[in-house]
Amino acid sequence: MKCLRAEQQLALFVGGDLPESETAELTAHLESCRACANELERLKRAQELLGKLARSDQPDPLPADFSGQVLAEIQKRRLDKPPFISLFAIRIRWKPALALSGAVLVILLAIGVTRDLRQSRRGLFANRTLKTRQSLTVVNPGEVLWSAKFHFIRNLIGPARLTEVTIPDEPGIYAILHKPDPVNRPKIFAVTFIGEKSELSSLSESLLKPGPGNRLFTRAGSPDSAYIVLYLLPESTEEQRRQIKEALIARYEPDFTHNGGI
Amino acid sequence: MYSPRIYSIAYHLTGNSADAQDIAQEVFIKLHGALDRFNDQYRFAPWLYRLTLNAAIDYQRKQAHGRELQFSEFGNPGAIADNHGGPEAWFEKTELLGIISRLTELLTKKQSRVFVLRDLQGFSTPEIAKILQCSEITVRVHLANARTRIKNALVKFYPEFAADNP
Repeated sequence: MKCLRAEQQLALFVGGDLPESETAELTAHLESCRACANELERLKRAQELLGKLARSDQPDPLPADFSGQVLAEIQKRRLDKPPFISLFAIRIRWKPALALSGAVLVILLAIGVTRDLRQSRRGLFANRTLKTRQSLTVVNPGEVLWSAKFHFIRNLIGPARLTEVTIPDEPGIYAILHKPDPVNRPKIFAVTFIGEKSELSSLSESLLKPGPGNRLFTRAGSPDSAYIVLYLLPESTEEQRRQIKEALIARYEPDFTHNGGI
Repeated sequence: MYSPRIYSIAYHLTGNSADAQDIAQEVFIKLHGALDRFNDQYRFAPWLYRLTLNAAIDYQRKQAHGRELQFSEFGNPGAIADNHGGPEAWFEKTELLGIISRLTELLTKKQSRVFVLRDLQGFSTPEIAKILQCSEITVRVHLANARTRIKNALVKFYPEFAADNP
Protein backbone atom coordinates (compact mmCIF):
# COMPACT_ATOMS: atom_id res chain seq x y z
CA MET A 1 0.00 0.00 0.00
CA LYS A 2 1.21 3.50 -0.84
CA CYS A 3 1.23 6.13 1.90
CA LEU A 4 -0.82 8.52 -0.23
CA ARG A 5 -3.71 6.05 -0.30
CA ALA A 6 -3.19 5.22 3.36
CA GLU A 7 -3.65 8.89 4.28
CA GLN A 8 -7.28 8.88 3.14
CA GLN A 9 -7.91 5.57 4.86
CA LEU A 10 -6.32 6.74 8.11
CA ALA A 11 -8.71 9.67 8.29
CA LEU A 12 -11.61 7.22 8.10
CA PHE A 13 -10.02 4.58 10.29
CA VAL A 14 -9.55 7.04 13.16
CA GLY A 15 -13.30 7.47 13.46
CA GLY A 16 -14.25 3.87 12.75
CA ASP A 17 -15.51 4.70 9.29
CA LEU A 18 -13.18 2.57 7.20
CA PRO A 19 -14.95 -0.44 5.65
CA GLU A 20 -13.83 -3.73 7.15
CA SER A 21 -12.62 -4.93 3.79
CA GLU A 22 -9.92 -2.23 3.81
CA THR A 23 -8.97 -2.37 7.48
CA ALA A 24 -6.68 -5.41 7.34
CA GLU A 25 -4.63 -3.93 4.53
CA LEU A 26 -4.22 -0.64 6.39
CA THR A 27 -3.31 -2.34 9.66
CA ALA A 28 -0.59 -4.29 7.90
CA HIS A 29 0.72 -1.09 6.34
CA LEU A 30 0.82 0.67 9.71
CA GLU A 31 3.04 -2.05 11.16
CA SER A 32 5.67 -1.37 8.57
CA CYS A 33 5.33 2.43 8.08
CA ARG A 34 6.39 4.74 10.92
CA ALA A 35 5.25 7.90 9.03
CA CYS A 36 1.72 6.62 8.69
CA ALA A 37 1.64 5.45 12.31
CA ASN A 38 2.61 8.99 13.37
CA GLU A 39 -0.02 10.41 11.05
CA LEU A 40 -2.61 8.21 12.72
CA GLU A 41 -1.55 9.57 16.12
CA ARG A 42 -2.00 13.15 14.94
CA LEU A 43 -5.44 12.34 13.57
CA LYS A 44 -6.36 10.69 16.87
CA ARG A 45 -5.28 13.77 18.80
CA ALA A 46 -7.33 15.99 16.51
CA GLN A 47 -10.38 13.73 16.95
CA GLU A 48 -10.02 13.71 20.72
CA LEU A 49 -9.67 17.47 20.80
CA LEU A 50 -12.72 17.98 18.62
CA GLY A 51 -14.67 15.52 20.77
CA LYS A 52 -13.87 17.55 23.87
CA LEU A 53 -14.81 20.78 22.14
CA ALA A 54 -18.07 19.34 20.85
CA ARG A 55 -19.04 18.17 24.33
CA SER A 56 -18.17 21.43 26.04
CA ASP A 57 -19.31 23.81 23.33
CA GLN A 58 -23.09 23.58 23.61
CA PRO A 59 -25.57 26.28 22.62
CA ASP A 60 -27.75 28.19 25.05
CA PRO A 61 -31.08 26.45 25.70
CA LEU A 62 -33.86 27.24 23.27
CA PRO A 63 -36.36 29.74 24.67
CA ALA A 64 -39.33 28.12 26.40
CA ASP A 65 -41.74 29.77 23.99
CA PHE A 66 -39.76 28.84 20.86
CA SER A 67 -42.76 27.08 19.29
CA GLY A 68 -44.90 30.13 19.94
CA GLN A 69 -42.31 32.38 18.33
CA VAL A 70 -42.24 30.20 15.23
CA LEU A 71 -46.03 30.20 14.93
CA ALA A 72 -46.12 33.96 15.43
CA GLU A 73 -43.53 34.42 12.68
CA ILE A 74 -45.51 32.19 10.33
CA GLN A 75 -48.63 34.21 10.98
CA LYS A 76 -46.74 37.47 10.55
CA ARG A 77 -45.35 36.41 7.19
CA ARG A 78 -48.79 35.29 6.05
CA LEU A 79 -50.28 38.64 6.99
CA ASP A 80 -47.41 40.49 5.34
CA LYS A 81 -48.30 39.11 1.95
CA PRO A 82 -51.99 38.16 1.86
CA PRO A 83 -52.54 38.88 -1.83
CA PHE A 84 -50.00 36.34 -3.03
CA ILE A 85 -51.25 32.81 -2.76
CA SER A 86 -49.52 29.91 -4.39
CA LEU A 87 -51.40 27.12 -6.07
CA PHE A 88 -49.09 24.77 -4.19
CA ALA A 89 -51.49 25.19 -1.32
CA ILE A 90 -54.18 23.17 -2.97
CA ARG A 91 -52.05 20.09 -2.46
CA ILE A 92 -51.39 20.70 1.20
CA ARG A 93 -51.88 17.75 3.55
CA TRP A 94 -53.38 17.98 6.97
CA LYS A 95 -50.66 17.65 9.61
CA PRO A 96 -52.28 18.57 12.90
CA ALA A 97 -49.38 20.39 14.50
CA LEU A 98 -48.31 22.47 11.56
CA ALA A 99 -51.17 22.87 9.16
CA LEU A 100 -52.71 25.95 10.65
CA SER A 101 -51.76 28.38 7.97
CA GLY A 102 -52.02 25.70 5.33
CA ALA A 103 -55.63 25.24 6.24
CA VAL A 104 -56.10 28.97 6.04
CA LEU A 105 -54.63 28.93 2.58
CA VAL A 106 -56.78 26.07 1.42
CA ILE A 107 -59.96 27.74 2.42
CA LEU A 108 -58.77 31.08 1.10
CA LEU A 109 -58.18 29.39 -2.20
CA ALA A 110 -61.43 27.55 -1.99
CA ILE A 111 -63.26 30.76 -1.53
CA GLY A 112 -61.26 33.20 -3.45
CA VAL A 113 -59.07 32.00 -6.27
CA THR A 114 -59.99 31.84 -9.88
CA ARG A 115 -58.13 30.86 -12.98
CA ASP A 116 -60.41 32.70 -15.27
CA LEU A 117 -58.12 35.25 -16.85
CA ARG A 118 -60.77 36.54 -19.16
CA GLN A 119 -62.91 37.57 -16.24
CA SER A 120 -60.12 39.48 -14.62
CA ARG A 121 -59.21 41.23 -17.85
CA ARG A 122 -62.72 42.47 -18.15
CA GLY A 123 -62.20 44.20 -14.83
CA LEU A 124 -65.23 42.71 -13.16
CA PHE A 125 -63.63 43.42 -9.81
CA ALA A 126 -61.34 46.23 -9.04
CA ASN A 127 -60.00 46.10 -5.53
CA ARG A 128 -57.59 43.22 -5.07
CA THR A 129 -55.28 41.18 -7.22
CA LEU A 130 -54.24 37.67 -6.35
CA LYS A 131 -51.23 36.39 -8.20
CA THR A 132 -50.74 32.66 -8.44
CA ARG A 133 -48.28 30.53 -10.32
CA GLN A 134 -50.66 30.00 -13.13
CA SER A 135 -53.01 32.91 -13.30
CA LEU A 136 -54.18 36.23 -12.06
CA THR A 137 -57.46 36.84 -10.42
CA VAL A 138 -59.20 39.89 -9.08
CA VAL A 139 -61.38 39.67 -6.03
CA ASN A 140 -63.39 42.19 -4.12
CA PRO A 141 -63.33 41.95 -0.34
CA GLY A 142 -66.99 41.05 -0.36
CA GLU A 143 -67.18 39.12 -3.61
CA VAL A 144 -65.33 36.09 -4.86
CA LEU A 145 -65.28 34.12 -8.04
CA TRP A 146 -65.56 30.42 -7.49
CA SER A 147 -63.53 27.92 -9.46
CA ALA A 148 -64.94 24.43 -9.58
CA LYS A 149 -61.40 23.10 -9.73
CA PHE A 150 -61.17 23.31 -5.98
CA HIS A 151 -64.06 21.00 -5.34
CA PHE A 152 -61.62 18.14 -5.21
CA ILE A 153 -59.63 19.31 -2.23
CA ARG A 154 -59.73 16.74 0.52
CA ASN A 155 -61.83 17.73 3.54
CA LEU A 156 -63.47 20.51 1.58
CA ILE A 157 -67.19 20.40 0.99
CA GLY A 158 -68.98 22.81 -1.24
CA PRO A 159 -70.00 25.20 -2.35
CA ALA A 160 -73.27 23.41 -2.08
CA ARG A 161 -76.76 24.73 -1.67
CA LEU A 162 -77.32 25.24 2.01
CA THR A 163 -80.65 23.49 1.90
CA GLU A 164 -79.21 20.40 0.25
CA VAL A 165 -76.01 19.70 2.13
CA THR A 166 -75.79 17.39 5.15
CA ILE A 167 -73.38 18.87 7.65
CA PRO A 168 -70.91 16.23 8.95
CA ASP A 169 -70.52 15.98 12.70
CA GLU A 170 -66.85 17.06 12.73
CA PRO A 171 -65.11 20.27 13.73
CA GLY A 172 -64.34 22.65 10.95
CA ILE A 173 -64.67 26.10 9.49
CA TYR A 174 -67.48 27.03 7.19
CA ALA A 175 -68.47 29.95 5.03
CA ILE A 176 -71.96 30.88 3.96
CA LEU A 177 -72.07 32.41 0.51
CA HIS A 178 -74.79 33.71 -1.71
CA LYS A 179 -75.05 34.68 -5.33
CA PRO A 180 -75.84 38.37 -5.55
CA ASP A 181 -76.57 38.17 -9.27
CA PRO A 182 -77.20 34.51 -10.14
CA VAL A 183 -78.56 35.27 -13.58
CA ASN A 184 -75.88 37.50 -15.03
CA ARG A 185 -72.94 36.40 -12.87
CA PRO A 186 -73.70 32.82 -11.87
CA LYS A 187 -70.17 32.08 -10.68
CA ILE A 188 -69.93 35.06 -8.37
CA PHE A 189 -70.39 34.51 -4.65
CA ALA A 190 -70.58 37.04 -1.87
CA VAL A 191 -69.32 36.03 1.56
CA THR A 192 -72.16 36.32 4.01
CA PHE A 193 -70.88 34.53 7.07
CA ILE A 194 -67.74 32.75 8.30
CA GLY A 195 -67.69 30.69 11.46
CA GLU A 196 -66.87 27.43 13.14
CA LYS A 197 -68.73 24.22 12.77
CA SER A 198 -69.82 24.41 16.43
CA GLU A 199 -71.42 27.78 15.74
CA LEU A 200 -73.15 26.27 12.79
CA SER A 201 -74.81 23.71 15.05
CA SER A 202 -76.21 26.41 17.26
CA LEU A 203 -77.42 28.33 14.26
CA SER A 204 -78.66 25.44 12.20
CA GLU A 205 -82.28 26.06 13.01
CA SER A 206 -82.27 29.57 11.62
CA LEU A 207 -79.89 28.72 8.81
CA LEU A 208 -81.81 25.81 7.46
CA LYS A 209 -85.28 27.25 7.85
CA PRO A 210 -85.62 30.19 5.53
CA GLY A 211 -88.12 32.76 6.54
CA PRO A 212 -88.59 36.45 7.09
CA GLY A 213 -86.52 36.38 10.29
CA ASN A 214 -83.52 34.77 8.65
CA ARG A 215 -81.26 37.56 7.49
CA LEU A 216 -78.94 35.16 5.74
CA PHE A 217 -81.65 34.13 3.35
CA THR A 218 -82.93 37.64 3.11
CA ARG A 219 -79.50 38.63 1.94
CA ALA A 220 -79.33 35.69 -0.46
CA GLY A 221 -82.68 36.51 -1.96
CA SER A 222 -83.89 32.94 -2.00
CA PRO A 223 -82.90 29.68 -0.32
CA ASP A 224 -81.55 28.37 -3.59
CA SER A 225 -79.05 31.21 -3.71
CA ALA A 226 -77.50 30.45 -0.32
CA TYR A 227 -74.46 28.20 -0.38
CA ILE A 228 -72.08 26.70 2.13
CA VAL A 229 -68.40 25.81 2.02
CA LEU A 230 -67.22 23.58 4.84
CA TYR A 231 -63.58 22.82 5.54
CA LEU A 232 -63.35 19.89 7.93
CA LEU A 233 -60.52 19.99 10.46
CA PRO A 234 -61.03 16.78 12.43
CA GLU A 235 -57.76 16.93 14.39
CA SER A 236 -57.56 20.66 14.92
CA THR A 237 -57.56 22.40 18.28
CA GLU A 238 -60.05 25.02 19.28
CA GLU A 239 -57.29 27.64 19.17
CA GLN A 240 -56.27 26.68 15.65
CA ARG A 241 -59.85 26.94 14.44
CA ARG A 242 -60.26 30.27 16.15
CA GLN A 243 -57.18 31.65 14.41
CA ILE A 244 -58.27 30.33 11.04
CA LYS A 245 -61.70 31.84 11.48
CA GLU A 246 -60.31 35.22 12.49
CA ALA A 247 -57.93 35.25 9.55
CA LEU A 248 -60.73 34.45 7.16
CA ILE A 249 -63.06 37.04 8.63
CA ALA A 250 -60.32 39.67 8.37
CA ARG A 251 -59.64 38.61 4.80
CA TYR A 252 -63.17 38.32 3.45
CA GLU A 253 -65.11 40.76 5.59
CA PRO A 254 -68.36 38.79 5.69
CA ASP A 255 -71.62 40.60 6.22
CA PHE A 256 -72.23 38.85 9.52
CA THR A 257 -70.28 37.14 12.26
CA HIS A 258 -71.47 34.95 15.08
CA ASN A 259 -71.03 37.65 17.68
CA GLY A 260 -72.72 40.22 15.50
CA GLY A 261 -75.78 38.03 15.33
CA ILE A 262 -77.69 36.76 12.40
CA MET B 1 -39.15 16.42 19.17
CA TYR B 2 -36.72 17.44 16.43
CA SER B 3 -36.06 20.96 17.72
CA PRO B 4 -32.98 20.16 19.87
CA ARG B 5 -31.24 18.27 17.07
CA ILE B 6 -31.99 20.93 14.49
CA TYR B 7 -30.82 23.63 16.86
CA SER B 8 -27.64 21.71 17.67
CA ILE B 9 -26.76 21.13 14.00
CA ALA B 10 -27.34 24.80 13.28
CA TYR B 11 -25.19 25.76 16.23
CA HIS B 12 -22.29 23.57 15.13
CA LEU B 13 -22.45 25.11 11.70
CA THR B 14 -22.55 28.69 12.99
CA GLY B 15 -21.04 28.59 16.47
CA ASN B 16 -23.56 31.10 17.68
CA SER B 17 -26.71 30.43 19.68
CA ALA B 18 -28.56 33.43 18.30
CA ASP B 19 -27.79 32.50 14.70
CA ALA B 20 -28.64 28.87 15.41
CA GLN B 21 -32.00 29.93 16.84
CA ASP B 22 -32.74 32.02 13.74
CA ILE B 23 -31.87 29.06 11.56
CA ALA B 24 -33.99 26.66 13.61
CA GLN B 25 -36.91 29.04 13.34
CA GLU B 26 -36.38 29.32 9.60
CA VAL B 27 -36.31 25.53 9.32
CA PHE B 28 -39.69 25.17 10.98
CA ILE B 29 -41.17 27.92 8.86
CA LYS B 30 -39.84 26.22 5.73
CA LEU B 31 -41.06 22.90 7.05
CA HIS B 32 -44.50 24.37 7.48
CA GLY B 33 -44.50 25.60 3.91
CA ALA B 34 -43.03 22.42 2.48
CA LEU B 35 -45.08 19.73 4.17
CA ASP B 36 -47.43 19.53 1.24
CA ARG B 37 -44.49 18.68 -0.99
CA PHE B 38 -43.10 16.04 1.34
CA ASN B 39 -43.23 12.63 -0.26
CA ASP B 40 -44.19 9.84 2.12
CA GLN B 41 -41.86 7.39 0.42
CA TYR B 42 -38.91 9.25 1.90
CA ARG B 43 -38.08 9.14 5.58
CA PHE B 44 -39.03 12.30 7.41
CA ALA B 45 -35.94 12.76 9.58
CA PRO B 46 -33.29 12.78 6.81
CA TRP B 47 -35.47 15.16 4.84
CA LEU B 48 -35.78 17.48 7.83
CA TYR B 49 -32.03 17.44 8.54
CA ARG B 50 -31.31 18.21 4.90
CA LEU B 51 -33.69 21.16 5.21
CA THR B 52 -31.67 22.27 8.25
CA LEU B 53 -28.35 22.05 6.45
CA ASN B 54 -29.67 24.02 3.51
CA ALA B 55 -31.18 26.67 5.77
CA ALA B 56 -27.87 27.01 7.61
CA ILE B 57 -25.96 27.34 4.37
CA ASP B 58 -28.38 29.99 3.10
CA TYR B 59 -28.04 31.83 6.37
CA GLN B 60 -24.24 31.68 6.35
CA ARG B 61 -24.17 32.83 2.75
CA LYS B 62 -26.20 35.90 3.66
CA GLN B 63 -23.97 36.59 6.63
CA ALA B 64 -20.62 35.93 4.99
CA HIS B 65 -20.59 38.50 2.17
CA GLY B 66 -17.42 37.02 0.82
CA ARG B 67 -15.49 37.22 4.07
CA GLU B 68 -12.37 35.10 4.03
CA LEU B 69 -11.55 33.40 7.26
CA GLN B 70 -7.98 33.39 8.39
CA PHE B 71 -6.78 30.95 10.98
CA SER B 72 -5.28 33.87 12.87
CA GLU B 73 -8.84 34.81 13.82
CA PHE B 74 -8.59 32.10 16.42
CA GLY B 75 -6.32 34.25 18.49
CA ASN B 76 -2.93 35.84 18.59
CA PRO B 77 -0.46 33.64 16.65
CA GLY B 78 2.42 35.19 18.57
CA ALA B 79 1.01 33.90 21.81
CA ILE B 80 0.78 30.41 20.42
CA ALA B 81 4.56 30.07 20.15
CA ASP B 82 4.86 30.76 23.86
CA ASN B 83 2.07 28.41 24.72
CA HIS B 84 3.82 25.31 26.03
CA GLY B 85 0.51 23.74 26.88
CA GLY B 86 -0.25 23.10 23.23
CA PRO B 87 -3.56 23.54 21.49
CA GLU B 88 -5.65 21.99 24.25
CA ALA B 89 -4.35 24.48 26.82
CA TRP B 90 -4.86 27.27 24.34
CA PHE B 91 -8.39 26.19 23.66
CA GLU B 92 -9.07 26.06 27.38
CA LYS B 93 -7.82 29.61 27.75
CA THR B 94 -9.76 30.77 24.77
CA GLU B 95 -13.47 31.18 24.64
CA LEU B 96 -14.84 27.95 23.29
CA LEU B 97 -17.81 29.53 21.65
CA GLY B 98 -17.51 29.43 17.91
CA ILE B 99 -14.22 27.55 17.63
CA ILE B 100 -15.77 24.51 16.04
CA SER B 101 -17.72 26.59 13.62
CA ARG B 102 -14.55 28.40 12.64
CA LEU B 103 -12.84 25.10 12.12
CA THR B 104 -15.68 24.02 9.87
CA GLU B 105 -15.29 27.24 7.93
CA LEU B 106 -11.90 25.97 6.86
CA LEU B 107 -13.74 23.24 5.00
CA THR B 108 -15.69 23.25 1.80
CA LYS B 109 -19.45 23.28 2.19
CA LYS B 110 -19.75 19.58 1.48
CA GLN B 111 -16.91 18.68 3.82
CA SER B 112 -18.39 20.88 6.49
CA ARG B 113 -21.82 19.24 6.29
CA VAL B 114 -20.39 15.74 6.48
CA PHE B 115 -17.99 16.67 9.28
CA VAL B 116 -20.69 18.26 11.44
CA LEU B 117 -23.10 15.39 10.94
CA ARG B 118 -20.53 12.65 11.57
CA ASP B 119 -18.01 13.99 14.09
CA LEU B 120 -20.12 16.48 15.98
CA GLN B 121 -23.63 15.06 15.69
CA GLY B 122 -22.75 11.38 15.61
CA PHE B 123 -24.79 10.29 12.58
CA SER B 124 -23.55 7.13 10.89
CA THR B 125 -22.20 7.14 7.35
CA PRO B 126 -25.35 5.48 5.90
CA GLU B 127 -27.54 8.01 7.72
CA ILE B 128 -25.52 10.90 6.33
CA ALA B 129 -25.77 9.44 2.84
CA LYS B 130 -29.56 9.47 3.20
CA ILE B 131 -29.62 13.01 4.54
CA LEU B 132 -27.38 14.35 1.79
CA GLN B 133 -28.84 12.08 -0.88
CA CYS B 134 -25.48 10.81 -2.02
CA SER B 135 -23.54 7.56 -1.86
CA GLU B 136 -21.73 6.34 1.23
CA ILE B 137 -18.50 6.47 -0.76
CA THR B 138 -19.02 10.17 -1.37
CA VAL B 139 -19.66 10.70 2.34
CA ARG B 140 -16.43 8.88 3.22
CA VAL B 141 -14.41 10.92 0.71
CA HIS B 142 -15.68 14.21 2.15
CA LEU B 143 -15.20 12.96 5.69
CA ALA B 144 -11.60 11.90 5.09
CA ASN B 145 -10.81 15.21 3.42
CA ALA B 146 -12.45 17.17 6.24
CA ARG B 147 -10.58 15.36 9.00
CA THR B 148 -7.28 15.67 7.15
CA ARG B 149 -7.83 19.37 6.57
CA ILE B 150 -8.61 20.08 10.20
CA LYS B 151 -5.67 18.02 11.37
CA ASN B 152 -3.39 19.89 8.94
CA ALA B 153 -4.65 23.24 10.26
CA LEU B 154 -3.88 22.18 13.82
CA VAL B 155 -0.45 20.88 12.85
CA LYS B 156 0.35 24.06 10.97
CA PHE B 157 -0.34 26.35 13.88
CA TYR B 158 0.65 24.10 16.76
CA PRO B 159 4.03 22.48 16.13
CA GLU B 160 3.77 20.46 19.34
CA PHE B 161 0.56 18.96 18.02
CA ALA B 162 2.58 17.50 15.16
CA ALA B 163 5.27 15.97 17.39
CA ASP B 164 5.92 12.39 16.37
CA ASN B 165 6.12 9.56 18.80
CA PRO B 166 9.72 8.37 19.31
